[in-house]
Amino acid sequence: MLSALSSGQICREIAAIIAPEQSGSVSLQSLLKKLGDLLQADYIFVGERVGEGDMVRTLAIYNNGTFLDNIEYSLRGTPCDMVLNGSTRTCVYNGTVQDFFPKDCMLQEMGMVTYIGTALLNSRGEMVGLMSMLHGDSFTDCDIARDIIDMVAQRFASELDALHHQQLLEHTTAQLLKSYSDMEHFTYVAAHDLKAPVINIKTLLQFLESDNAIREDSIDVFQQVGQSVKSLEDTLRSLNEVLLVRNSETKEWKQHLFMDEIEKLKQSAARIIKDSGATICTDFSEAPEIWYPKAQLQSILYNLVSNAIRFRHPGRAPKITLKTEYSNKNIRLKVTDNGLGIDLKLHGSKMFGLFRRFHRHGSGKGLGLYVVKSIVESNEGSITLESEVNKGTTFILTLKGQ
Amino acid sequence: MIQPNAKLIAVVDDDTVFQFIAKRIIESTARFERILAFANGQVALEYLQENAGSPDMLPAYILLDINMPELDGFGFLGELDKHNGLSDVDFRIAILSSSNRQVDIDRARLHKRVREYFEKPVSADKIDALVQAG
Repeated sequence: MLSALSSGQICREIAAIIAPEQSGSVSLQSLLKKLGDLLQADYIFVGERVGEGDMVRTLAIYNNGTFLDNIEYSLRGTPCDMVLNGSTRTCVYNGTVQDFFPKDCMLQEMGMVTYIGTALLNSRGEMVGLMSMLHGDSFTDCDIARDIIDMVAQRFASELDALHHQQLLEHTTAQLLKSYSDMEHFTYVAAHDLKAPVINIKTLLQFLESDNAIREDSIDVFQQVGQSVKSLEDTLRSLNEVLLVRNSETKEWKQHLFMDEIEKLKQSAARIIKDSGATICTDFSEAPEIWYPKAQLQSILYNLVSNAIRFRHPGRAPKITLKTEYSNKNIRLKVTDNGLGIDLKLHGSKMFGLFRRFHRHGSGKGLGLYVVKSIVESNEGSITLESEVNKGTTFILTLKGQ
Repeated sequence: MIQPNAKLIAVVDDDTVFQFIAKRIIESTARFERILAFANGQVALEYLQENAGSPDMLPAYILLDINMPELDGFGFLGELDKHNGLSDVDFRIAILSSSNRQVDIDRARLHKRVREYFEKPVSADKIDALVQAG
């Protein structure tokens, strides 16, 4: 059989098997098929050690042109045991395998007399599997077959290694995704379950107040309790907002005029605008409209404007400028304030984190920018900022246009 | 349609503090003679089944929480429809939940007995709205 091929042909066949693939990954199966056809093996298979190392699970079995279902078998009494647990890495039984392994029923059932098997080592040198071929006749050119198998073994070993790495990666990814979704679920449950008692306490405090149940000298204590409850309520509301924003089922895409949205914002934030004496200037002439989820656009604008007001400079009334323009097919929104500014060298990387606050004054929960970033990124956009201490800050949002 | 007692209102909620609050708010509206309180959908359902034959014992208004042990708010609504003696009683229900999830709101709106969906806290205005929803 092999002697029918010239040594040049054999070399080319081997080269084709061991050559690293040009593009993408070649499957273990296609490599096995090439080798099986070259050796004219009745059966050829690749298996990995499983269990306590006393079992093998096949990854591919090739039998004269077709692939068989994979099996798991015990090494006991088989030639494969010699490959994985014996003293030589490659074992050859030319025409004699049934004599050496009389208890291996499979060999007899299949009528196989020739066996060549070699251990496959991973990158750490551990015997993680084997490749074996079986033949119904004796090989006249058994040494060549053995040499070929020796030569290509490493190629199969690295294929096996790659497979393990891929499995490990998939396993790790699945675990990460699960812990992420557990975390999200936990946050939801926490935010939701805390809400009910906080609302209860708030209502009970109102009862006490309307009952005039608080003694004159305890009123300040009572007010502090009220403050704490309010702050707890605000945090929970922000947390719920984050969760809501992440939840894609609440998205309602619409065409919006920036001018309309700013008018709505001026109403919903009327109190903080008035109290701070803020002026809001707009220039939407270049890009007056945007296609965006409604609640999310409102949340972006509200958080950026209220953020600018919250961190205003104590020496001057806040002035916030919003400007839009096209940038390729996207819309760029710039929100500039004349507030405290921030030292980006110190805080830059943490700006958009959860519960991050960088100024002592102001009543922020440290959630606003996190919400904005979450929204923008979940819609394939980006956000950056420029800032100078005591001068002001500009947020630059690139919003994916549809 | 069998008309239940318009002077009766039920609060179905596993939160006893909320029950306390709801009772006080309901009393402040002076619209009702009696307030029934149930710890979950199952307990409420058992009471309604026992009194299915006497409309005077059945509350016309029910403030219903969603998340409860044993039988939750949606389960309770489903059971009302299944039960022979209760399916044609004209209960007017307001969901009163701390959930503002759109899925819950949409699901509640599908139900014909649900007249209102309120986020907690409960207030006299919300109870007025339920009564006036007709």
